Amino acid sequence: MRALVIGAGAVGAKVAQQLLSSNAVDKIVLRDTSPEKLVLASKNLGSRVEVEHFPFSQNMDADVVVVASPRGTQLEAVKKAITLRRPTVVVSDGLSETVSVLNLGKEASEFGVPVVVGTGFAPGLSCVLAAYGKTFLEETEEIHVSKMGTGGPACALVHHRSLSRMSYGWREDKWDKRLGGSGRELLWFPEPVGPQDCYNAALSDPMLLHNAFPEVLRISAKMAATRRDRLTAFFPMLTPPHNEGGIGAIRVEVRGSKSGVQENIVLGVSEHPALAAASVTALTAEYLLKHKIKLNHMSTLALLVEPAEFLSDLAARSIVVEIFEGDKTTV
Amino acid sequence: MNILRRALAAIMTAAAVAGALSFQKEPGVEKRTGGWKKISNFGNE
Repeated sequence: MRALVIGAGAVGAKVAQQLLSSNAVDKIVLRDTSPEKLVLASKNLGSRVEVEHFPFSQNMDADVVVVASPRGTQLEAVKKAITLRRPTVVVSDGLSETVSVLNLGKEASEFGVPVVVGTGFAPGLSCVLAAYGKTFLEETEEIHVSKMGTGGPACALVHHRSLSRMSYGWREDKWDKRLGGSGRELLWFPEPVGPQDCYNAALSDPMLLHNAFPEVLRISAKMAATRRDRLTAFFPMLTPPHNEGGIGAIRVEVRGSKSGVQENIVLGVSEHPALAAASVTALTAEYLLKHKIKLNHMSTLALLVEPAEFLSDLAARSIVVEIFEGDKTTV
Repeated sequence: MNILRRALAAIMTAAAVAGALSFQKEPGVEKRTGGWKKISNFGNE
């Protein structure tokens, strides 16, 4: 088995490492425009990695293609992979590009190519948590996702920009547009992240979740940010982003009813975003290679995997899912 | 002046304690405590 990983950044390099360590593939082709990143990644990954620098070969000779490149480069890579009929896993990050990738669904169906969109921390793991939360309920009315933290520099840039763009949430039967950086809400993430002020932001989770669960009445996504984040979001990044952010978290609240009683299910994960995104992406690629996902079109993780099994497999990779349990007492 | 200051501090402390106790004794106040619990056994919660 052979995998092509496009992007040797914080997520891509870790995906390659995980695919090799689980022996899911015999060889990895790691593709990036940055020679420094390729040198660093190949030093860490050993002889089973072949690096590919620009200009890239036109032939994506692999059993699975993992697109973990920065925003703005993913759409072209997915188009190419679909044309060449290569099973593809797209990490997804920016809102507009994720929508553009979803619009390639018709081509993927025509070519009969499996394409999994959104396999990062959020979107990705957030979608699986939403699907898992739904299993606790008989009827789901609302899904609210929030996230804190960033992975590599490309992720940090998307985080920065998303606070100055319009956010989209699904409300009753239409898309509800709100200004990024508005709608402050104090939300509790799993420790050590804890409580964070979260705001509307141009995130792609609602698009993927509505695609998966069109019957859910309200879907929203918020992001933790500071006053400085909100103030500087309208300007270019003044300082270069870090190589990899610290610990982050996601929190998914699923509201609905069971046996006529209103219930809220709150699930969360606290982890380094790049590591969590890499684990979700590598596991999805392994599912495709092992034919655990039987697919001949484009879809999202929330629909494709059995959530309990997927989260259980992730737990084996040290991605721990937590549930918020409240003790209700009357004093 | 010192006696006045101490008296004022005592009155404020007493008011704060009384306030806290009265809030706790208010009938029907629901208090939620709890926290995050790791899920180890998926599908068998």
